[in-house]
Amino acid sequence: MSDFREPIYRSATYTSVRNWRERLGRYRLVGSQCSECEAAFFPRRPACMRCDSRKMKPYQCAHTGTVVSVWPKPGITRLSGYEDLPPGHVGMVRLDDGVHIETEIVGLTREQSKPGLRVGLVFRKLRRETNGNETYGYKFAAIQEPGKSPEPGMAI
Amino acid sequence: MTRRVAIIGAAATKQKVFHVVPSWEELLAEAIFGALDDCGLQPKNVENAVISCAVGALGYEAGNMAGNVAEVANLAPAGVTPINGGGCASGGIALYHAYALVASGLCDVALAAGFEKGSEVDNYLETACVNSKAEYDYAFGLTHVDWLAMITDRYSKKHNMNMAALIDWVEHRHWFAQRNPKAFSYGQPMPTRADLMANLQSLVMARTDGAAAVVVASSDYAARLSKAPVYIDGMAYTSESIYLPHKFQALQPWQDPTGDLDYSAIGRVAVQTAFKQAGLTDIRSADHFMVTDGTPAVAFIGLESLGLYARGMAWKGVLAGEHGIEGRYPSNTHGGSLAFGGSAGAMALADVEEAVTQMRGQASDRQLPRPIQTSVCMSMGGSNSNSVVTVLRRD
Repeated sequence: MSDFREPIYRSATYTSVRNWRERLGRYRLVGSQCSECEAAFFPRRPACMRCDSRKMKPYQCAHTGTVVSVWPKPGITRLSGYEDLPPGHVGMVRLDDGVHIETEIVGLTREQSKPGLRVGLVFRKLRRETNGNETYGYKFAAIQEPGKSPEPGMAI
Repeated sequence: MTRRVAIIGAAATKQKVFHVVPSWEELLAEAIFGALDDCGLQPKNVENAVISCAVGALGYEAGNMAGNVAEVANLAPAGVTPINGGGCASGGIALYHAYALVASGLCDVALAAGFEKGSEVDNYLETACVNSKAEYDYAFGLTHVDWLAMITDRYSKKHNMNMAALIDWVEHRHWFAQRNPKAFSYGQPMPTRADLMANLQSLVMARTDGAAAVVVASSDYAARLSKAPVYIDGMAYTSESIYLPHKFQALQPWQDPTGDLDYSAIGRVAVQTAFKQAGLTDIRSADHFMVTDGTPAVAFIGLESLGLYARGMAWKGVLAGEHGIEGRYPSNTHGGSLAFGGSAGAMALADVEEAVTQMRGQASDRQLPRPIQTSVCMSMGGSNSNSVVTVLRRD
């Protein structure tokens, strides 16, 4: 055994506090609503973008919506830790309460990948942090159409 | 009451995918000394400096940029202000603050310099992506390229864009870069249209290492120097939410009720403010244009924000050849971020350096055939969450 006690190089690691802090937004799409003018926002925020009020309250965003823009994730955009995942789609979704979010849309076929698709929230594993903990959050998937059987990954 | 401000010196380094030998400090110093040499000043003449980097402290362990830059460029005891963030507009933000320092009378000579050194990080995209609403996009696997792709996708579908316009834009930029030794793609074979269509990555800003610097001074100070100055007659900087979906949420009078990914509300505000300052009533009277082109569609949004086209119409002008060397609105004449190089923290300053070079008639083989009296530079950073507009003029 060497006498040299090697220091850890660049050991900075984020704690899980950041994920815990955003748990309501990440797990349930809880944003903020202005107590003065009723404007709703996602993610949560400390002041109203319309009337500047600081009286904000938690707001449960709709869990269903319509795809505004959708884009197949090509390989060049892969982040570390996502390399082995199958090709996915990212998109802009207008929730049924009018709030817009950006999200991954899972399980889409090529034919489904277009604006106007009805989608709903699904809960998925996101990625493993540098401290080893798994992180979870929302994604969206196509909503089952009446008369058709649900497909794997489909929102219900 | 503000003073008239002049650009008296400008320089940009060679753009490279990998600048292996120089450190980020040395690359930045090369640009700073180049700009000072351009106007015959020494570091001791600089009273204040503003340094920009889009990733900086996050990516390269640049840490306290202010002290590092003061040391390597001999700027002490000048105050050095670091701008860490602002995406592709960060250099424009640095210039805005240098301009404001001189315009307000706080100092006579100020420096704006910016750099990016993405090759220092194995996965640069990771560091670029945390410059966002990280808890709600980066953490979910969404990248900066995804946002640019969504903007492009939305613009093209909403306005029935002929995809040939994307290729035309990139092809024209490569034409200019072929004539610009500082471009990263200089010396490489001119890509064919088939090459560009087959390679999706050619339609996205090329990540490069590079730096650029601009020296500004009061008009009285500039009058004492030998080179004819280029004046900043209008300049504005605006910001809004980085969270892309907020573009749909038009809640303020300055926003458009039809807010969407294909439109930059803050870009319009910056344009109107800068043009009013400059007394520029007809954008079509300007001779030269530099706009951020993270993707061609981002450039089209910029051209529309400037007022050259109605919303969703810029691609038609591109197809008509309006933005090449012989076009009515010659643009991104150094090659743009697609062919010159996209060193994010330096990009906006490299745009201004190119404008100054063209206005002085020193752009060699890519020099525009007509004299340039007015050039307009527009930087859009962080998926259009930051916008800087600069109106440059010669007397």
